[in-house]
Amino acid sequence: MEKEKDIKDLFTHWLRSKQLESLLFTLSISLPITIFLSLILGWYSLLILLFVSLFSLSRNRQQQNNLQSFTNELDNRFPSLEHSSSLLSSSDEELSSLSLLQKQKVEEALNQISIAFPISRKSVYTLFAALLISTIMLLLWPLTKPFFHSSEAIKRSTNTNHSSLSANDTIQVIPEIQTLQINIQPPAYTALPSFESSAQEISIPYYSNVQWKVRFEGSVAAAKLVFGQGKELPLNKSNDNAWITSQTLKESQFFSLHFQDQYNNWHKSDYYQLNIIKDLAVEIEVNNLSQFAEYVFTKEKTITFNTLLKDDYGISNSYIVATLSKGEGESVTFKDDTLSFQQNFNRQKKEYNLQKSIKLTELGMEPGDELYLHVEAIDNRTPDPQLSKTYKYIIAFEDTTKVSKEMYGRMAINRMPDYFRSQRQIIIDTERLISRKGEMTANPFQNASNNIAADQKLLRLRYGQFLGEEFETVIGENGAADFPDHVHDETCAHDSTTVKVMGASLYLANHKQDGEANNKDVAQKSNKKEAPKAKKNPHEGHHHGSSQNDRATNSPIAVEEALLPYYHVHDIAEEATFFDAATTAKLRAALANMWDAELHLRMGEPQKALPYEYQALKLIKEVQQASRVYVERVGFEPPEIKVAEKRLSGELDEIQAPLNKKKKLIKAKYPHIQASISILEQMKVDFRYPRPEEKLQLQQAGEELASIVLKQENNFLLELQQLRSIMEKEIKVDQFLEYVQNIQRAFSTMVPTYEKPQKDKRGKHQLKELYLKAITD
Amino acid sequence: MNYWHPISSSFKQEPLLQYLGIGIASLLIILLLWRAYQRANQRFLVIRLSANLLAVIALLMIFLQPFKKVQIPNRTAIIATANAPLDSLVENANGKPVFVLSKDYSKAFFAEEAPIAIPHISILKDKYPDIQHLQLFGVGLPLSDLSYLDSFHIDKFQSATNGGILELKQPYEIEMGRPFQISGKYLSKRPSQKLELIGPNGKEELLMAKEEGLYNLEKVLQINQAGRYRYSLLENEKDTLGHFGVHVTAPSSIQSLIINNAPNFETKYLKNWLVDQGFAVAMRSSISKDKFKTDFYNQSSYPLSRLNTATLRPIDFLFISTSALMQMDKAERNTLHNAVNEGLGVCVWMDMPIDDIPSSIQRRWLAFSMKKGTPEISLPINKDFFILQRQAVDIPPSLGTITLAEANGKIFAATKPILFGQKALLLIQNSYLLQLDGQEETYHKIWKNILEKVARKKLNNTQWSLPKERPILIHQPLKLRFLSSTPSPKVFIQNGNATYEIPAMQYPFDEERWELNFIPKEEGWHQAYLEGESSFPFYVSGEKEWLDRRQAAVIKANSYHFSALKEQRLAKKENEQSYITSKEAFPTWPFFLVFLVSMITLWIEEKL
Repeated sequence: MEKEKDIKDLFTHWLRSKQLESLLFTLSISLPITIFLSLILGWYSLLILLFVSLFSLSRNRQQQNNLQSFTNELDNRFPSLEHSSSLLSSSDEELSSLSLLQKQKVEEALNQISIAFPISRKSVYTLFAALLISTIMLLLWPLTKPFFHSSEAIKRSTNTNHSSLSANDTIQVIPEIQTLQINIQPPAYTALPSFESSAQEISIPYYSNVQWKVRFEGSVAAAKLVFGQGKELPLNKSNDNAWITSQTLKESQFFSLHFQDQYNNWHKSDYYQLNIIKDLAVEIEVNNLSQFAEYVFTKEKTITFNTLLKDDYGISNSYIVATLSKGEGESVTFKDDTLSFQQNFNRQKKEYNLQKSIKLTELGMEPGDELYLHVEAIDNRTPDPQLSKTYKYIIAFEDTTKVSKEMYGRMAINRMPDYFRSQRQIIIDTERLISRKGEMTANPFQNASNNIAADQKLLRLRYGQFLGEEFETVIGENGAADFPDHVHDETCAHDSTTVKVMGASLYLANHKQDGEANNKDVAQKSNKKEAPKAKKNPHEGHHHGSSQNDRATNSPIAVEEALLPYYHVHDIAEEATFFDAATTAKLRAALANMWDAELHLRMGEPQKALPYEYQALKLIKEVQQASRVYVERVGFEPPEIKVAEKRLSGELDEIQAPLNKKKKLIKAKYPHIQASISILEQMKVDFRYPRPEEKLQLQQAGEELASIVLKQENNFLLELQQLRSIMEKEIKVDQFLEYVQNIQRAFSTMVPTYEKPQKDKRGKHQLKELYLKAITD
Repeated sequence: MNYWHPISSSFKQEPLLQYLGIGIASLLIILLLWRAYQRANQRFLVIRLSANLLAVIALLMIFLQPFKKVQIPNRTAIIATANAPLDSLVENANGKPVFVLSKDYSKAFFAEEAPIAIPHISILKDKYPDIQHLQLFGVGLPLSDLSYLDSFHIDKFQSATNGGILELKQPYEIEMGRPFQISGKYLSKRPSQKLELIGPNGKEELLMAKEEGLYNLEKVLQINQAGRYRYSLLENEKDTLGHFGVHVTAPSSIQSLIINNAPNFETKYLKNWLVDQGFAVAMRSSISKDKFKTDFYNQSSYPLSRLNTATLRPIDFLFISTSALMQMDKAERNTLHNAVNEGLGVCVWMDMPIDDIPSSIQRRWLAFSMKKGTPEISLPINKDFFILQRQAVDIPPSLGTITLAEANGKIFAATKPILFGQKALLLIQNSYLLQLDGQEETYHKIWKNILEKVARKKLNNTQWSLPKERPILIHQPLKLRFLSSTPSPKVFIQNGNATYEIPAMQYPFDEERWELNFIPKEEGWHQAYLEGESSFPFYVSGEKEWLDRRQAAVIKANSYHFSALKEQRLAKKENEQSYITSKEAFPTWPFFLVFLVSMITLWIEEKL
């Protein structure tokens, strides 16, 4: 039994060594294979290792039951065992006597030899070789990569950020725009030829028909144009593989081309700008016609004026619209008429210079009537021709029979007829005449001066009325007053212009009618250097009585005159005026100044007449003030109000304090653009794309920018494009900063300068506050 | 002369430990000797006692680590910093070692060959103790490292800067819409140098230097949107010299109250103007005794029949006529005065002659020394003059009086700070005529200035300030100061996702003034804040930015530092011998050997 045990022990040892060898063998085989496969397949290779290991172990199991192999090995290794080691595993009962003897012999021999079961060198060498191979593989593996990884590399490079690729290994080709042609057909009336362009920015006439023709490189499933407002225009594929569409444009647009590839991915092009050149209306220029002209009525009165018409493409028609206004107030009537220029208009001709003469009486104009004229012109735009009008020109015939009212300081006052012009007006006319002296020849100047002199005379006569003098009631050269107390004879050196004071005709000066100057008398008058001073004697300057004898110096009249300073005349009704002596003297002085002014005006010396006119004006004003009478009001006198007692003493119970509340919101013009400036700054500093919450703000800012571009307020098309590129992450790294800065700059120009007052800052310093409080309390 | 010190230098710094060690050792010696002496066998007593003594002493020496002071001869070395002619220095070193700071030069230097790269100047003393004399070439050392050179004798051969931005001043925080100025100095070393500033408003030309030389930089900028903005300075359209940041604060609204005795055009136009700015405005006009007409714009209504502290607290600017002031009773006027003390800004409109105003009101509300003047004032506008009516008084300039508006040297609006508020006086009667005449811009300018100077100031709990040196650079110590009444404030600095709590140091004589030191490790925007409060942002420039400016600062700091030490540190001649002492630690192995031999002896002795 003990020997059996021994042999069994030996067998166990032998088995273990064999198992170890098997393990080493397994490792030697599986290690390089595993490493090789793991580099290709990854973790799948571990399964192979497991399989190989199991295979190897299963081989061991067979060996485990193979005692025969063990004994064979013993016999082979130890000749002393005489190939009888198998006897050791049999029991004594099973053996014959001879076998038993042999068994004993073998047992003795076994005891004498030392048995060891070392691991075979072969397995060790095999393992070493496997390790060497594995190491070489690991070191040289990176060099083998291109042969095994090339297909995956290509796949990655063709994988864009659009929708997912198909599972097969085909390479996706993104279509590109080969050519984009824009054919512009201007409207026929412009007579402009059609043209083609592929520029980024094109200017086209209004209402042109635009045709887009696009060719793509690669397969395109669909294409469309997307305009600034979001409107889309699909393109249709033609027979020659071009994509075509057309549209008539009336306003400026910007668009981009969107096209879809066969994988349902949409691609976008850059923005293109189409600027509309507007068709301007006809420009009308009227010459030789005043805005307002008033003429004296004559039957032959004709107005002639020139009209210059200019248009960018052509003029189809032009005419004059005349409106005649008759009557006034509620009885006013209007009559419209259209006058032609007697010109055939060629629709293609762009410029006309027309002349028109209108005989006013032919239109039915009469004194007091007004004619309103304006010129209209129509250009040749088709459709919707444009009509231009000028301002209204007013032509009126003077109605001298009526008194016109003037607005003076918001009060309508009756203006006296022209022949009763005021002294101030005379002064104005004189100054105007003086200023125009250089422009006028001698005769018209003299005539104008004479006309002013006539006005001065009439005014003088009018004021002289207050002194009992007569005045003319009729305008005209032949007007004369009829004075029954005076009879003209050949000795009379005066004309019909006499004055009457207190019923007696007086002879003031030996002068002639309007238009004729008494040279002698005028010469005498002109020698005077000073204006005559006001005479104190109220009776001076006028005569009582009108007989011929009165003129003799030694006559009773002359005597009476000499005695005048010593007594008053109270029995003449006309002498009793409202004016006191001083006022009367002033008035007389004014009249004297008017005389002198008239004199110089008649001589054609308005500049010398001017001081006399001013003096006359001054004296008249003083007389006006002096002639005012103030009468104390009589009647009810209210009691004096004690302000201090009465003020703020009313009952106010029912009076409610008014309360108003209003809200005025100041809205930023472009709030999203304004808010996006700081977002762009953060993106610039952090060098990143916008976050999701920032994208919304930028999108809204982009919409505001698009509206600005559409309104053509500023050309920010490039910045809009750059913003879109950033939002869609379609830019290169080295362009990012440039894009962001450009957009930020554009946004900053949109934000108005902030000029509102702001609070200054101060820090809270408690110690300081306590200290200051302590020193002031 | 060499000598050794029985007590290690480290112990010298801990005297208690030193005495304790000596005491214990002495007790041990005595105890062991006494034990040895007490033994019955008295043979070899001397050997025994000696061995014990030696063992204890050896142990003590091991414990105390003695050192010795060694005198070493002087050596001169060359320190080459940035901009130094390195090759020439190495060639002409004449046996002197040449050292460079690794950070100044990007190329690698091999050990034991000239020049020798060292990471920091401080190791020079420890690694090369024999070097006492340094010749410094280049721009010099950073300010923080200059103190390490104090123990050396220095010959300075400082290089000039390469040019570029030498100085830059810019604000770190401004209000939205307020123009601000950046200024500085630029040294052009080549002709036709162009400087551009890139900011939120795009690219702006800063300077076009046609010739070499020093140029002053000045640019006024304005940002119309709140936020943080970074400006880049570009040289010749390609080289970025650096970045700096500006924080633009959002505008603050001004709440106004107008009190009238009776409606008038002046207040009506003022009210309209304030509303057009988007501010909340309330207006009270008397229509009868104790009856008022009140108008509220951009705000909800509140009782205005009588002014009290609660009503006045939210008001920033109050415009009141002298007639309205006279209408108030004394208590109401006192309330108003107290509100001014607490920060309210009041502008008193003198709508009646000064002689009609009671002296009590004059003293308190018209506290300006006035003298007689003309009733009209001519405002120059666009080469023309605009006549405005005013009260016939003049406000002469004086200490404490701040001019708000003037024309031809005559002040017609002025203010005085009263505690935390302002009391202003307006003499003009009809500034609204400017609006009627189409001079809105002039009207806006006048009233904007009045409003900003008089209105209540915006109160910040914490007031931060940065050092004058700009821009702030990475890896450079930064001193932040702030005013806060919070006791023991917790200060945090945030950069990106990292937040650091930085301890703050309180000033000894001002408990509300604090200071902290911080070295930024990252470039970009940082925020400093106290716990629970709003943050204070500042921008830190990167390491490769503002190189010229850094160099200029280093040159300046070195010049100042060495000129201050000039009298104390005179350069010595090379051949003059001078010695320095060095501490050399005593080897401890002999003591171990002694201890071992002593112990063996004691052991053998027992066996004998």
